[in-house]
Amino acid sequence: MPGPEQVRELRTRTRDALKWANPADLSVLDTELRDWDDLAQNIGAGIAPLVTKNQRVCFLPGRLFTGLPLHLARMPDGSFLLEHHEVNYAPNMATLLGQPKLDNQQTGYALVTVTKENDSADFRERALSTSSTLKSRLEALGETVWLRQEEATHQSVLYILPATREILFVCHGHYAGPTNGYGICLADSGHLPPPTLAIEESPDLARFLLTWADLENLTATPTIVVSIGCSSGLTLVAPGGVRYGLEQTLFQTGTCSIISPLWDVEQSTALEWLGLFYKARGDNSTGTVAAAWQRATLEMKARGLHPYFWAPFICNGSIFTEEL
Amino acid sequence: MNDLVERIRNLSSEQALEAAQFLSKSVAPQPANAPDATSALAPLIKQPYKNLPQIEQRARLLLLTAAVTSEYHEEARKAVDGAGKKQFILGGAEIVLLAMVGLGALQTILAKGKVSETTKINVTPGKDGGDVTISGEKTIVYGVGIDLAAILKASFGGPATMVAPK
Repeated sequence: MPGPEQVRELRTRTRDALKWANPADLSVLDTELRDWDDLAQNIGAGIAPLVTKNQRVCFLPGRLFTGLPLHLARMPDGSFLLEHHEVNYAPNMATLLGQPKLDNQQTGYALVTVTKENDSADFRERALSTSSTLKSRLEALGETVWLRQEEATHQSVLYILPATREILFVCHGHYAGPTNGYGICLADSGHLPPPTLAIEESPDLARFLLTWADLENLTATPTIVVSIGCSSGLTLVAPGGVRYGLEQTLFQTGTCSIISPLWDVEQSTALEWLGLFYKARGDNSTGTVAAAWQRATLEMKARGLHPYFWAPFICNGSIFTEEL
Repeated sequence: MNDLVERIRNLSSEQALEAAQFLSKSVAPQPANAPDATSALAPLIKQPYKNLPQIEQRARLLLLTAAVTSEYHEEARKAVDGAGKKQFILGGAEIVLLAMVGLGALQTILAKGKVSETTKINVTPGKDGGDVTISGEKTIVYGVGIDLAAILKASFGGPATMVAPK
């Protein structure tokens, strides 16, 4: 097993390799992930004697392992950990064991769809048509608000968040620097987000990005937050263990589960995964959010795709987030 | 080949940057010699957003060069195929990274077309028995094929002279 320094260095390399993977040619990624594969086997070998089939596995990845796709740990039989286990991540034990608080004000569901200024017509159309299907699925669960494109601003999103039981973001993700971490792109003043957002150079562009800092003053946030924004599930861990990312404020304000990707996702397969996730959510036999996450992920895997396409999403938060 | 060149020309600014990053990773996994690249790119790195047009131009230059180099044509095609498919918006730090790795990849591709390398050393004796001054100058000439020359000219206005590869 590698030491802490080696793991830290490997984590950076793994994160960069996944972030910059070319969805049209994953051969480079396979080469770059060889060291991660070795570590994944070590982790799987360590876990195997401790679990029996179908037990849920919970990771508190701490400073060292945060951001690594631990659900892809390789078991001694060659299978991935998530093939036989629901997998939960959490930043700490309090979040992992947190009980969802049923707030009577939080009755509805919300869907937010925002593409960027010059996304191709195909890209935009796929986002909107999948969102329309997802809206129907959410409506089967409860009253649903859909904020589309220019309607989805900081103001409108922050307004609906406290009154919403669950929110789904079909938006772009963006890295906003070491202290803001990863966030979700929104519209502003009738404009979709521009194709590049150099917020450190032009701070005014922050109006197109929702980060943990924007959520700090909210009294409540949805029990479940789902996002396909690229890398929006990544949390940065600063020296001393301070964590920067959306989870930082969401878990403080009432959110119990965040389902979001650890790397930059390819749009069409991410949307397919979302469809499968909400199909599983609508099935009463599924039970927990983690179970729906596992079922959707395994259905994507069954299509014979590379893990880059089927494994980006993680289920972060409480183990008690049942279908409410 | 013309089809790929056309596709590269039609890429949006951020797609060109993304494709150049994919290409860089497949042809030159290690970034360019860091101190050299950093000093060459320092003005761009300071304000990546402001200098985006120049960084984009470098990205297109890299893609076009690879597209017309038989050895890298396929890599260029895959890089273009993969661009614009992700749910992300480029930021300043990422633009800087793209500028760095793109330079390394361009060095790698062009190095295949090195035409000549000359080193000139001047030795100047000091006057009246003073210190001897030694200075050096290294010149490397890279050749570009007729195809690439025509494309560069059409895309960027073209350099004043082109050296034909031997």
